[in-house]
Amino acid sequence: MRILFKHLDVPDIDDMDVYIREGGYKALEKALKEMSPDGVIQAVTKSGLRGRGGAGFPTGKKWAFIPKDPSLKKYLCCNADESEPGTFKDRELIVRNPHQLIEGMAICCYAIGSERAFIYIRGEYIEPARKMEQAIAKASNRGFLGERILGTDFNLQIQVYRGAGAYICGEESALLNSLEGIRGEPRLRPPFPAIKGLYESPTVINNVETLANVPHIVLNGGEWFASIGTEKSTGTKVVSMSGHVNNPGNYEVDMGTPVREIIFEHAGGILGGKRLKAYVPGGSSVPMLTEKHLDVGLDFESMLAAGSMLGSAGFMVMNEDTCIVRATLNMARFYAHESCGKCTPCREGTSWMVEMLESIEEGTGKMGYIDRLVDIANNINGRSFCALGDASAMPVLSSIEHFRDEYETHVSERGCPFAGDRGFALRGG
Amino acid sequence: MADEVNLTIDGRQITVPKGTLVIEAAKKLGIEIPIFCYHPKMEPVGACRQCLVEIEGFPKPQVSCSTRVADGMVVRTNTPEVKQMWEIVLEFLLINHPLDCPVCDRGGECPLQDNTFRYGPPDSRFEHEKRHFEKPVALSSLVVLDRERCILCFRCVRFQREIADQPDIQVFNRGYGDYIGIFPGRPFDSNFSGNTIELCPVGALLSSVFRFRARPWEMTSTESICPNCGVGCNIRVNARNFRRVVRYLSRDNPEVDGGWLCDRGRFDSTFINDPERLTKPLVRRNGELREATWEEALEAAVDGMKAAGLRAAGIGSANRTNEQNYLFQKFMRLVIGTNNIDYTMEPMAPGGTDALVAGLTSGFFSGSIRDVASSDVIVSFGSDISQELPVLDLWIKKAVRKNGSKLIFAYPLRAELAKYASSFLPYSYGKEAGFAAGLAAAFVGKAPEQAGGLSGDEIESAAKILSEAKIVALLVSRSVIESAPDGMETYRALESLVGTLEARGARVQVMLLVDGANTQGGMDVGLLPGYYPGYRKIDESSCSEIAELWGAEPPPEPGLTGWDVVREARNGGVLALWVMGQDPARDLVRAKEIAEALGKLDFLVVQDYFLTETARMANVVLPSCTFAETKGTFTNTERRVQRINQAIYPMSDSDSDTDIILKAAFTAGAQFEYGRIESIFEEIARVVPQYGGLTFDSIGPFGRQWEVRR
Repeated sequence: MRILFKHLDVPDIDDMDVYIREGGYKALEKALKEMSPDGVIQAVTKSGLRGRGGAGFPTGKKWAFIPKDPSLKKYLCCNADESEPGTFKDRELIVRNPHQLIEGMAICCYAIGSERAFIYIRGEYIEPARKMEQAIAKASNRGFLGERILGTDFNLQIQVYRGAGAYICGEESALLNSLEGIRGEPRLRPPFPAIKGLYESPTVINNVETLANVPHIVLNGGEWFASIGTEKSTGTKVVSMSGHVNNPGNYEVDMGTPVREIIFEHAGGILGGKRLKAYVPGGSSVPMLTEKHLDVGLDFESMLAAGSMLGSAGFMVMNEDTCIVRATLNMARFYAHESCGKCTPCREGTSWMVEMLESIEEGTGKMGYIDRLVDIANNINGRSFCALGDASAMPVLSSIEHFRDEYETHVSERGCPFAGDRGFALRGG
Repeated sequence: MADEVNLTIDGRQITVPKGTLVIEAAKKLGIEIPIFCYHPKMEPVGACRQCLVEIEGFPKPQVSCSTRVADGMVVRTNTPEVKQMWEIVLEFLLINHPLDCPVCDRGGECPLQDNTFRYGPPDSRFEHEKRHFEKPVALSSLVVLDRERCILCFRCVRFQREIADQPDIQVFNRGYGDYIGIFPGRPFDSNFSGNTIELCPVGALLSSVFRFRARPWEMTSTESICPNCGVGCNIRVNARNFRRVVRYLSRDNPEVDGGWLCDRGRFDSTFINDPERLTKPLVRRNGELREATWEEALEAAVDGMKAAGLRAAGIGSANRTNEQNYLFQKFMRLVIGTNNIDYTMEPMAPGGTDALVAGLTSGFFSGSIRDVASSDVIVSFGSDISQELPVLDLWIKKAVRKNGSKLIFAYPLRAELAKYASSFLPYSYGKEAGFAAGLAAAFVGKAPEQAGGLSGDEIESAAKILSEAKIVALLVSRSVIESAPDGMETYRALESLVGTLEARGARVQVMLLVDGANTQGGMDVGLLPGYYPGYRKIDESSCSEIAELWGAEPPPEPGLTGWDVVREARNGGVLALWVMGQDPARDLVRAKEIAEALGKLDFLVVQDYFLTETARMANVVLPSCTFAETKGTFTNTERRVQRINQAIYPMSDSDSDTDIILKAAFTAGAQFEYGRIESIFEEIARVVPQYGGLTFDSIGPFGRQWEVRR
């Protein structure tokens, strides 16, 4: 089923007039005129919508944490940093249909009592940022934003803020730091953002995709949304397909759709008719899976049961020619490069793992490095300040779990058996 | 009780206040948890991850430095898993830490060494190249940084941001490339930079004064007091071989310094062993100062002073001990026979000293440094505290930034504290009395149109803040009472303001701000021409009272002030002067006039460490010891009597000021007998009523305040 992409075939849906013609901003009107803020939160809670940024926290619950005290200033921050490797769904959601996001943000702000919202957008997303700014200006002119929206006493201002390219700023509390103009580092919790977030005020931080779902939930009801997908993972998920597939791109599928269907039907199968070797289902921060796991459903619970996580649903597909050590090294380099340096295990451990992986890939590694990598990864995981450290351990632990023999071959043959192959490369790899 | 929480740590029960950090609860049980980034005086950050523990119900280990206790919490620090976590964090920290402990200043007193010794791995599994940085880097003329040794606990950055509010140093770069640094072209010029060296848990931040000077285990540590200003921060004097002072460290006195030192104090240790120190007495012969024996010098000094008869005078010092100043004034009064004694050559306004003494003896000035922390409005009048009493500046910043206290900052110039002020009142120099009267009047609803060079609106805005105050700390600079014009009027206006505030139910604590380490003590023990020790105004009855205490009669008439001496010296009214521990010829404001006056004297004795400008003009120069070579007491701005202890042997032939005075008295044939420094203090406690009941022992390591209850 297509919810977020349902207007994808409508030409110029990014144009506000077209969006309105297709039923846009009806949900905002309904929320403002027919529903109480609590009613909106109840609908979202009933829908079972869970955060699409990766952690899957129930959205209605998050909104309900915001204190009702009207004397407190509240903020919404839309997380459009989209810095997770292999993930590019938010970019498309913004560029193709910016008003859907604006409408979702406006409804959220109405529900939590916020009059000021920010979109923290990845620095490299120049076009989406521009698009968003134009859309906000148009929506403001038309009275969907600004003072006394749609004749009610609800006011809202949305501001686009461009990040400067640090992965850590996608972490919600580091995002708040960055937005406040200070060093992008995660904050100590508690206090949680719902109590003390942006400028020490109650703050909701939601992913683009999460917020884009909200108008549809308001319009069609929570029950309708809850009927899509699985019992605990409701609705649809936009999957970013990249790597060795014939048709890379974004696909919206119902939660619970088997991976096999996504890779082989939606994405057109493995490039060059090769065999699948491994895939990462949720951005590089989740454990990789193998062809044994093709019948796993794409939802929070099934992925967890299979030993991975749904994450951002940024799929990275690797075929049989991929050197798994090199692929892991690329991901490890990414984390070492992006570690903010605040905590010891992540700062020191990520670079140590890179050193060992480099040695193994170059043929100077020792057999003992393999267990040492597992040990170091296990000592970063769960002991770091934030999830970046945990994430850095996942590619290392899962690749050794599934492909230990390949690591051993690298060591015993003193080099990469996939000579000449450029392998699987992330940015800068 | 709702405010108390019960928890279990390693199977042991403990009850602690709600909000306590797990690590502090453990500390109370004597359970040690290793730390690096955590510091009890700063906000927890949970960055280094050294203090991870297991807490039941949490899926992951938690950092005990930033987790707050909860009722029924079960914490474990003694499991193999926890030991392993402590070990791995140390292994992580050590992979990039250079093993240059033998040449590191911190070696021997290094938390990284100590934690590794107790909890660390026996070896390292890291087989790769360590991280390299250019080093060392001078962050300022005082602080040097070795970035390879840095373990990125961010204590230094946090101190500068949270405590000093001078965020000159920052974290640069990211992750593995993280380093501490300064902004281009902007040196680390905080007043408090030295504290970061002491906070650093490794040898990354180093003192350019101490660097490569000594190993920690070959130093002695002596409890003392910083001689640099009126705050009287508690210090430890570190010395080698009882000969060489190599550095000062803080010695946390929660009532006085909170464990911090300013740079002016901390780095001012080099003068003690300066090669320019005077080591031999000097006597002027044929127009030139030449070395002499102590006997020759003292004889010349006493003869020269006595020759002046009644036209002699003495100047004591705001940075000499109570014992030294007490003996000095006793010597001047009984042996030389003059009340021409002062602690300064600053011109005082008529009646200024009387106003000051009235405030001190009535108990008007009875406030404490601590009051700053507990008041909701702080009024500072007449002092650039950040420069004059730097560590007090930290107390004020903390009150304003952490407790939300309001500051009314009255000072003619836009000094640093002005930016923390809810009301900044730059009154005009010389119009202190008008300003104080205006403020008092505005407070009772009679705001003048203008006062002290300020508009009525400015005065009224301050009065409004005061009118909402429940607890007020009023800090009054000595200078606005004693040396500014109409000090008595200023004092009366302040009295009336305080009276009104108290009548309205506010609690007011007034503290006198004096700038010298022992200005207060000097005045207490009698360095005033119009008062005998203990602020006894010179008259017939006080004269006989003192005569009874001393067994000899002091001169019965009030003497000349220091500034009177300057004036009188020019027309022959004063012929001989004895200066102990001061260099008036280099006075910041009146050097020329004073030097000219000193030049007119028949005879000048100077007792000091160096051949100062004043000493160069002297007929006799007596080399004296620094505070590190002697023992005694200082009395700080909150009237806290604190002990200094001897850290090193006296330099060569120099002698302590007390011994010099005793020898001079002996030379003059007087009977001054004291077995020990303590005996002098015992006499002070007998003679100076404010010190009654104090003994050298009862003062204790953190001092005792003298108080006059109102």
